[in-house]
Amino acid sequence: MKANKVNTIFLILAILTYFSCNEAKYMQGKRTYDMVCATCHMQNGSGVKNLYPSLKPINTSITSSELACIIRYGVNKESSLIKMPPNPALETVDITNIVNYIVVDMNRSKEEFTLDQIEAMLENCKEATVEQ
Amino acid sequence: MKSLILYAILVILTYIGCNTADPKPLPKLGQTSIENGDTLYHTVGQFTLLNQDSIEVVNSDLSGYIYVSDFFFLNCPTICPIVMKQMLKLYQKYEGNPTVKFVSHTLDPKRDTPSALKQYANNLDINHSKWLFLTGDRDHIYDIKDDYFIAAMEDSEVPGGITHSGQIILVDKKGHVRSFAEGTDPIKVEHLMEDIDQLLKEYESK
Ligand code: HEC
Repeated sequence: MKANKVNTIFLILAILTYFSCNEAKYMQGKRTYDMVCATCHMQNGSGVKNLYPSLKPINTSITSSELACIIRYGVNKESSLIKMPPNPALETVDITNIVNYIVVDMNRSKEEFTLDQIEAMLENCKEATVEQ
Repeated sequence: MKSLILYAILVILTYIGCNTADPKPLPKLGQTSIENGDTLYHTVGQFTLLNQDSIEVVNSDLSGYIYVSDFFFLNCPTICPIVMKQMLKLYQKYEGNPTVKFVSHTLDPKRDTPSALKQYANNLDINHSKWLFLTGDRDHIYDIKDDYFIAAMEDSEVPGGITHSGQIILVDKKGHVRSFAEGTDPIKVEHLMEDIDQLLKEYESK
């Protein structure tokens, strides 16, 4: 009987561990993503056909620095039928968390980005986006 | 004691069995009126709009079909993409059923011209004769939305400039509204699917 109880406790522990493993590593990034991106790109990142591109999996031609720039400045190409709005209210730390959430949690990449790296990426895209 | 429980289970099962065998028909929603002793049910009013191919569409083009309808606009940053994803789910389920059509109305006809809607529909990868995207005179569209029990108004304070409700509406072959669901809620949309199936059955058995 005692051994049974111990077994049960281990089983519950194993299940709990499994669930916590499945949770997003970047919870803060997920929270912000769910608030500002999920309406268009869907909560699971699946997007809507060719209207709202899928972020899970994300288009492989999009570099991390492009991703950071898109989050801050949106997409407003001549060819865009629907424009993605910019997010001037997001701080660099929010953007870092979203980038990591998309890259690591959604797309299982091993690479993570620091605040300084994202900061530098955002410096570089300032001019590029103005001319879009 | 045991047999009592068995009987109880039997009674419950029979009850459930009866209910599924003969579901109540879906209600006809909206105000009814009585004229010369006949009950008149609410119907979608006369409309004349343009589809994504710039071809005029009127009520009679939809009679004989049941259709699933919503109101949206291209530059809607809030609920529209979520509702559209649910519409797409419904479309994919009934794509092969010739009795079912889909009708999306823009609330922003100034910007959402037939050609913009065509491009939108192309990006959704749908059959243009099965899923109509309608635009037209602004006041006309805002009148029609009332017949579908949709609330919408222009509001420069909100992102996108228009606030509106995101229901998906089910209309029968005669233009009566038979069911609706909150288009942002996948579970309610599942229920709407059951209502669509039931409405289709109603017509099959006639
Ligand atoms: C109002 C809807 C909307 C919101 C909100 C939105 N996006 Fe977008 N996003 C779009 C659209 C539309 C495009 C495609 C634009 C184009 O290429 O013409 C796009 C494109 C992108 C792309 C490029 C994808 C590719 O394959 O080209 C990325 C990455 C992206 N969005 C990420 C995000 C992130 C992260 C957020 C939240 C911070 C976000 N988006 C919020 C509508 C939106």
